[in-house]
Amino acid sequence: MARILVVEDDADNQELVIRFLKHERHEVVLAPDGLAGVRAAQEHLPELILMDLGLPVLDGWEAAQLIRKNSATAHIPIIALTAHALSEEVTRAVESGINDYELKPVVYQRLMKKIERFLSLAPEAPVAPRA
Amino acid sequence: MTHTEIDRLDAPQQPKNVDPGPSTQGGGNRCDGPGPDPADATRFRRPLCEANPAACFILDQRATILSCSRYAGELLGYPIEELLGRSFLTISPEQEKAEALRWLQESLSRPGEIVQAEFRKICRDGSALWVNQKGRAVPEDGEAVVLVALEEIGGRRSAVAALEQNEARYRAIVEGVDALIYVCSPDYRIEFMNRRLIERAGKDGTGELCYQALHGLDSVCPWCVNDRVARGETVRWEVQSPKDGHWFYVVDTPIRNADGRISKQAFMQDVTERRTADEARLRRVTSSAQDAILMMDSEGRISSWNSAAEEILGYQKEEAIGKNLYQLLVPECQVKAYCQALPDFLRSGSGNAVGKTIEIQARRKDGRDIDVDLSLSAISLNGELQATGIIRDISERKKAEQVLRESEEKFRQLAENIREVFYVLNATGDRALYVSPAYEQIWGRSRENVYQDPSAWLETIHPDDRKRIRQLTAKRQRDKALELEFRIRTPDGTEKWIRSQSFPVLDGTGKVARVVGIAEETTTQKRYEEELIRAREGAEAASRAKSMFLATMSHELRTPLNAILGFAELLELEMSQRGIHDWHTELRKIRGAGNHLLDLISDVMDLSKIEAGKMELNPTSFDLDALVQEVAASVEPLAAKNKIQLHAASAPAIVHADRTRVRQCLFNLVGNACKFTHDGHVTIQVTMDNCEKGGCCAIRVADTGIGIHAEDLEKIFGDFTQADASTTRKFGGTGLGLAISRKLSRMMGGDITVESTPGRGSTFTLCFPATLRDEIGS
Repeated sequence: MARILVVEDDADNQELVIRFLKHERHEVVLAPDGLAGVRAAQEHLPELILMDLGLPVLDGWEAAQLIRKNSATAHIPIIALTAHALSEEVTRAVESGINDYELKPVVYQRLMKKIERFLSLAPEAPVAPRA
Repeated sequence: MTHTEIDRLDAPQQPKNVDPGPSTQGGGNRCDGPGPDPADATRFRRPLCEANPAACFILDQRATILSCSRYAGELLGYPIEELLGRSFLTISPEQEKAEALRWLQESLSRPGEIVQAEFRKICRDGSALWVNQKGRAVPEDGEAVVLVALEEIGGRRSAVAALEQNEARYRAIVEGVDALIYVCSPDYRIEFMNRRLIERAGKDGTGELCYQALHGLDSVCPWCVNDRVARGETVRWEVQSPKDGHWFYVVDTPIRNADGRISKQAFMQDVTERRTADEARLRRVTSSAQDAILMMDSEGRISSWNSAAEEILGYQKEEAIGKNLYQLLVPECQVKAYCQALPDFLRSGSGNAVGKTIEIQARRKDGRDIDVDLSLSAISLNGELQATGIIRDISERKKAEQVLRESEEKFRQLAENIREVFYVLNATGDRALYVSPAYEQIWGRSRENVYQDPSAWLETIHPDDRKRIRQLTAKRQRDKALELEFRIRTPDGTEKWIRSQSFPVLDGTGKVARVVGIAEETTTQKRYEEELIRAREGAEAASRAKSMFLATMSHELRTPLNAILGFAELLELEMSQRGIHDWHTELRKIRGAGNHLLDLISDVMDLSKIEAGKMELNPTSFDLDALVQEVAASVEPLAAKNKIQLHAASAPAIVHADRTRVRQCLFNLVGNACKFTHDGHVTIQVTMDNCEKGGCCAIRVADTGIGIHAEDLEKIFGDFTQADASTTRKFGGTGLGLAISRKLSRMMGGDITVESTPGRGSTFTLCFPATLRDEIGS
């Protein structure tokens, strides 16, 4: 059981991820855009962040960079959930400091296993963004 | 005079015989004495002497001066007091003293007679004075005294002496000089011969006729120049003696005699040695000369012919000497002009061809006319004009010139007829040497402008391009080619695009000799180019838009698909957790259709990327066997479902290729094989062909499935095709797998081929270039 920040603007997707996470008894904090996501990360200091990339206000890449820049949140693992299937977008995401990603449509039970793996690796050392 | 003076001095001695005439003439009045007393004669003798206007002395027998006239003192520059009492001999020069004494004695021995002689007297200032000295001894007081009168003859005497001296000098010169000299009168009489000439002639022929004495001829020598000398001309010439062949340099000079006749002085110097040396030198020069050197005498006959002449003109020396030049060498067409010009030339040594080089034709012995350069000069020899001709064979040069002219003509025709402007500049590129006429067509301006002002063409350039072109031409490297593209404006305002290319032409030493170039109008090409660029930009924009569209489409399709599949998954999870199994099959179908849709999206994306050239290969070194086993494992569930014995032969090799793409292809082939086979076998085999040197790797996937009809064998690689439209429904798949796999394999430089027998099975072979490596790495 962990506190997980979900940054997602689409209502269906919000509901889906929240319900799967609740099945796994995780505590969910929800942020509807990138900037809210960055603030929520600072405020709630979640153990893991699920981040959509195509987000309003601040997109996922920018939000990930800001989270990595803040020493309080720099270590939190971020898994991107994205419908951007092109390889260059994935590369950009990794460069922004994202630890892993799942392509939409997400196979949620697989995602849950991935989350468990990340959480089991705790306590996490801060992960610096790659150059 | 002198006699008179002495008489006058003597008058007192013989008063009765006094000649009254002279006494009245020459101061005789002074002689008029009181009477004819002999004692008076002695008494008056001295005063008379002293007062005598001539130079008079009275000497005793020992030559002591007893008395002298004032004038004698003045003449010799002595005060009378200094002369009185001294010996008369002391005023004679040392060498004449004895003579003077003899004169005195002779006078004394012949009393009453006048004894006269010419002597020199030494004046007080040391100068000598020639005098005619007359003396007469007269008795006085039982002794004898000598009355002396001196008559000055200095002027006449010194002129003669000078004359004698000159003559002696002249004679010394005439006899001393190493030359033969004679003087002869206008009527050929020899007036003088010097000793050397006498020696040579064997006799002194003075007074004889010169042609007889000197040449043994009966009449005037044919070469005689007496006429010309008699007219006052000095004639210089060289002549060869018929006697011994010696050459003489002769200078005949007119000498004007006192009576106005003009004699000829002939001065002859033996120059045989010099001439021989000259001739030898000349022979050496002419024989080694590359040019034909020939001489022609006054009759136009050839007198000299060198070896080059033999070669160039074909005649041997023996054949040529003595022949008339025009008979030998002058082609018919030129004979007339030659014969007209020859007499003038022989007379005056001048003519059109003299002193310069002319191009003319000469006829060889073999009848061939050749082009030659002829340099003609006139030499005066023995008073005759001789022509020297230097002939250079220029037929090769003419031939080369002809070739050059033809080549130049070809070049000119080319340059003047091409549509492009051909131009030639000097080495520094600031002067136009040639600009072809196309300039006038393209530029609409006269070429003269460019010739006159080389920067004129810059002014024709469009103002927007001018600065750039000026900078480019200014900083060009002289030895490098230069390509310029710019716009010009013609006088009627038309804008034209020009492309100019120029190249340096190097000389033999590698320096830039000229710059040549071609300028062409590229307005049309430029327009096409611009259209092409616009088209390309449009195509690129379209391609970008397509890529963007695809990315967006992919994104937008995946988002609802996420909800469809996600909620199906959620439902399935939650229903199974609650033990509800009623809708399980339906939920499975939703998820199957969703996943199919997802595969379609992925395949379309892949195809688009390949077609847009956006699919990039990323070769790495990897374990091929591991890849094969991985693929086999991932299709194992399908194989098991279709009761297939899946066998992957071991392929222990590390190869260098794009692992992801190889895997994608192989996965597709093995997946297909399992999909279309039931209750059979699928085998995977790897063969390496020459992979050490970058050969290729072949992976064969053989099945025992339904097989493919021959007519469908190529169709199956098309987009959205399976051998049978019904197969998609029956066997699933997007129908894009083989198309994508073949495209990927071809991108890698390989291919996918197929062999099949319907009902028995198919064998697909994936081959791709791969290099064997020792270890894994990039």
